[in-house]
Amino acid sequence: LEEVPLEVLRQRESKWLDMINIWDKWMAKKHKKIRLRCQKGIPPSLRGRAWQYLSGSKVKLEQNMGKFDELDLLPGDPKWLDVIERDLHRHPLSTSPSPGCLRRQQDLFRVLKAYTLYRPEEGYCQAQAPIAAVLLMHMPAEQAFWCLVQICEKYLPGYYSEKLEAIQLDGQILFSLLHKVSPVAYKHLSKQKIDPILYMTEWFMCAFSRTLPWSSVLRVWDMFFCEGVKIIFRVGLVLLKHTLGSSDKLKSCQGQYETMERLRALSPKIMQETFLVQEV
Amino acid sequence: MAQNAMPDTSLEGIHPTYMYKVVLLGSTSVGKSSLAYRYVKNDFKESLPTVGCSFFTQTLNLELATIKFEIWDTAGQEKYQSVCHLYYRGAHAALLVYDITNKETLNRAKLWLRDLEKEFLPDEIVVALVGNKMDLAAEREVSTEEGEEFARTKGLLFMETSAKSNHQVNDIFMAIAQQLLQREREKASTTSPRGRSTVDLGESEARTGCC
Repeated sequence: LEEVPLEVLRQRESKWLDMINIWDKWMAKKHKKIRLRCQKGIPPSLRGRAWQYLSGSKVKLEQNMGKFDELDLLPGDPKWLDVIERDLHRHPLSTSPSPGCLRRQQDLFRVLKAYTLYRPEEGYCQAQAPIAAVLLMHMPAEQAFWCLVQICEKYLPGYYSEKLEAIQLDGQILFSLLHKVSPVAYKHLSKQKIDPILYMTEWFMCAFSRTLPWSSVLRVWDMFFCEGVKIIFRVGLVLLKHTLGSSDKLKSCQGQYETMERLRALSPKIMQETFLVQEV
Repeated sequence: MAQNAMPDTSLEGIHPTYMYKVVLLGSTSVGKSSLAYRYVKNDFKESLPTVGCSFFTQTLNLELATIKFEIWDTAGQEKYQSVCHLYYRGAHAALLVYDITNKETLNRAKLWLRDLEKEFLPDEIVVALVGNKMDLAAEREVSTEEGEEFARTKGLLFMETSAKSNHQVNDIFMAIAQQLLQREREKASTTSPRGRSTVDLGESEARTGCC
């Protein structure tokens, strides 16, 4: 775990507070500097607020005052509610819930339900739950809802829609980028006939929240909110390169199944936040 | 070539290892991941909804052969349906799982079967229909007979299981193993009356691994 010295953390906090106070000016004139600060990691105490500024969900909420409460009061389509409810009960934590955990689960239900009412044609996709859960750890339900809206519409448009066309397309893009980044890994995956869909679906749809250790998830999301989907691509490429990028690494995964297994159980070393952020 | 000049590679003569890809298909939250988990780890835990795919292996040492199952556990939500053929491509067996307390999931299993029938010839894949959640039999919406009858008309293996209470989970995988081996034997005897080598067999059908 990367330990940030307390003084540095305090300094970063005050810098972020200054930025947040005159956010529009910073966005317009000093985007590069914001990017750099996101790469260094947003101070935990300000992360939730920063994500709302970076994603534009704060503005979205202000433009739609009361909309979330309105959706919150509607009953919702039983077809989606049934799946959402089942999913919440399946969470390993649901067997011994603390009061805080229960409230968070209720909030998760409210946010996901509200989204199905906000975009009835899209409904609920199971990959949205981990995304919303990460958001709810940093902000209240209404804020998390609008942040989820931004992710689904601006950052990862089409990822959660019927047919998964956007994911399939991004899978192909990832694969062609891999050709440049790591020809060895590219050749291996081609030879094994492993379609990108087989390994990148969870990575991309959950924005790595189900893949990486928690500290790395936060750092990746800091950059993701600032720079967008290209961060997801870059993380994916780093993981592929460092898992399948040399003949030495390939020795132990000769078959299709062994390769898939390796990609499902990535080495902790390459997922560690300092290493990963530096490589990305 | 005289038969006795050939290396002793008949099915009876050596103990071959077969690798089979088995894919779990079915609606969301019918218990696909739980079945795989019970079978491989002999344990039960609530699992998060699968996004994409996850993987398990299990080795079975049978009298006649060693079988290594590569189990591909897929996401059940309908949204993923369009990419599912990528998961079951090259599978040797499929478990079509439904939840006995939810009639709709059996209907979905029937649709899965239709998809499989488009992709595979009948003798290319062993299909088992699995009614899971026997521990919730009090809330049953699908009778045993209904599942059984459908499986019979379609020539599928059939079992009702419970991943939670460990009911017939091993049995269904064992039944699949037996049927796969049966098919190997049939192929070996039909393709060459003089007894084809298992190496050839392995290349053309299931991958034969060294052990």
